[in-house]
Amino acid sequence: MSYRAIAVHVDQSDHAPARVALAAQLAAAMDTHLTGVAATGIPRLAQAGGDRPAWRLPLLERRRLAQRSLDMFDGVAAAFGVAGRTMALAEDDSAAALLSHARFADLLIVSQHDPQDQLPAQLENLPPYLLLNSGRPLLVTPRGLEPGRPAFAPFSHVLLGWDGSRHAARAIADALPLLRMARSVTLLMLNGASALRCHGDMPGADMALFLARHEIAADMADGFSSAATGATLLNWAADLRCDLLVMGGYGHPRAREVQLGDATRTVLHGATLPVLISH
Amino acid sequence: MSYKTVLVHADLSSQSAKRIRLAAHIASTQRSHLVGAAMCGFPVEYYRTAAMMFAGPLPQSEFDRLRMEAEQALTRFETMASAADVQSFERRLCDDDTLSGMVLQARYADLVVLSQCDPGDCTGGELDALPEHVALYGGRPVLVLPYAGKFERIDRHALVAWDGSRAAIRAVTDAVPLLRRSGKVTLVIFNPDAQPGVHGEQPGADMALYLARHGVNVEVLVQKTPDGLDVGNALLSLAYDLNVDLIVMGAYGHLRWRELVLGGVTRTIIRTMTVPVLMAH
Repeated sequence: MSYRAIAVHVDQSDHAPARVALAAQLAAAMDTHLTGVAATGIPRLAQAGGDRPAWRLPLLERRRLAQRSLDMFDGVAAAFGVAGRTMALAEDDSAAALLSHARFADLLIVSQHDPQDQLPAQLENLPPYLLLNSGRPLLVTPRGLEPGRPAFAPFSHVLLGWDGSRHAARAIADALPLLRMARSVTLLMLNGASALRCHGDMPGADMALFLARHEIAADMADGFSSAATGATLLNWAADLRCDLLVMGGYGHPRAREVQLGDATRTVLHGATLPVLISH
Repeated sequence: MSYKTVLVHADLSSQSAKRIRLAAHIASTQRSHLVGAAMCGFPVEYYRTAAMMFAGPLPQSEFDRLRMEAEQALTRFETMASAADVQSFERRLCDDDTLSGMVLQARYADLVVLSQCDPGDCTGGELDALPEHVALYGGRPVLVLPYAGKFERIDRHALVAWDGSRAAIRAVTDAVPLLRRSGKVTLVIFNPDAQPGVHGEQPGADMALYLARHGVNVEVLVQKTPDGLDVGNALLSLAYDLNVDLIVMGAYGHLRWRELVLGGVTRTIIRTMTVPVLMAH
């Protein structure tokens, strides 16, 4: 399987150029259609009141800002040779806009939440919300990502967090196109989430076989420990100098907020490498 | 894109042969590895409640019987798999109970093939709950065969139920290997007006484009459910009218206590399906 369509969040954040560059490199490498999604930030519901004068000026300004960031996206994507690309300007807040575009994309690319970012278009912490509600894998780019670093994408050394859960299984399946392009893949076995035996008789062996049938040769690593899973994942990723971490995400949606599992929260908050996460 | 590993449940029920035959057919078309899995364990509940009920230890003969039945089921599976044109296949005998065993094995497959339970066969309730349990907890798409009727192939005409939800997204994506090989695919959207903001100006147009990128050409159908008919029954009714051989839909679960319980439409389909249904959560 390959990704046929990727959607990347486009906004005025300082992190946007690097995020878009990564998305463009991926899309070019996989010959995938890339859609840049920029939101004006005014929730659709708020616009239901009609074309009131009070809305017009801020809305025009926001549209202008969004369009400007889309022009940046278009320039970057063209520079990386992405042939099929679409600029999508959404009259909505970022979360809703990305959720809507998630339906027609195989992968969503957003940035790690940065509390320092004071962007008008963003009403909430995007990664947790999209993780639980989009039904799509999320590629979360870290705050410190610099554009133009060599060996960016395709990713060369990938770490798979495997705890036997269906979320991790989903994430690994969602990551297959990226794994296929990687130079090496490490399957890190972690403590299972539930009390019941969830790894089977030979932990990792079955998953390694599943990957092998998808023509991916994975090295196995033993991450069973008493340390917190989130920290274990990030430490291993750093020790092995991985450039992509793949993991299942846990959480419960609560209206517009999301209650995340410990490991998920730790990694989403503290990762310094790109993370592909699915729920 | 194809499924690389297809998992089929093997047991001695009346549904087994039909199910294995279809699973083998899919594995053969997709050039996948076929795994037949049979379970010979007792549900954990038994062990938990046994002490409270002052039950005596289970005689070894009970375990032996279950194991023997599982072995028989696997032998039948192997016979059928080698008769079909399956590239490679394997048998797995698992000590787990049916529900957790199939969920565990599902982790290592791309598609799980199960049967709707025949009321005549259902003893102990595990078989009855199997499709919904694996659909909700397995993390993989599940192809469920109705207990009534013969289903030699599922590649003439597929009906995809689309409502923009998370579960529907998963189901459609997971169904792509089958949809690509379907003669015809119809994407149906029920009552798009009831979901403002979800479907856009032309309901289904975006989805049709997305699927086209994946090599699947669809015809979009927008339907309003007639008064008094819920979506589940409207879907089955449409499937009958169009004479489809496969339905693709999202499986909905609601969180109740600490378990996931099936939503109404999904439950309707699982109870009364008339053609094979591929579902994902």
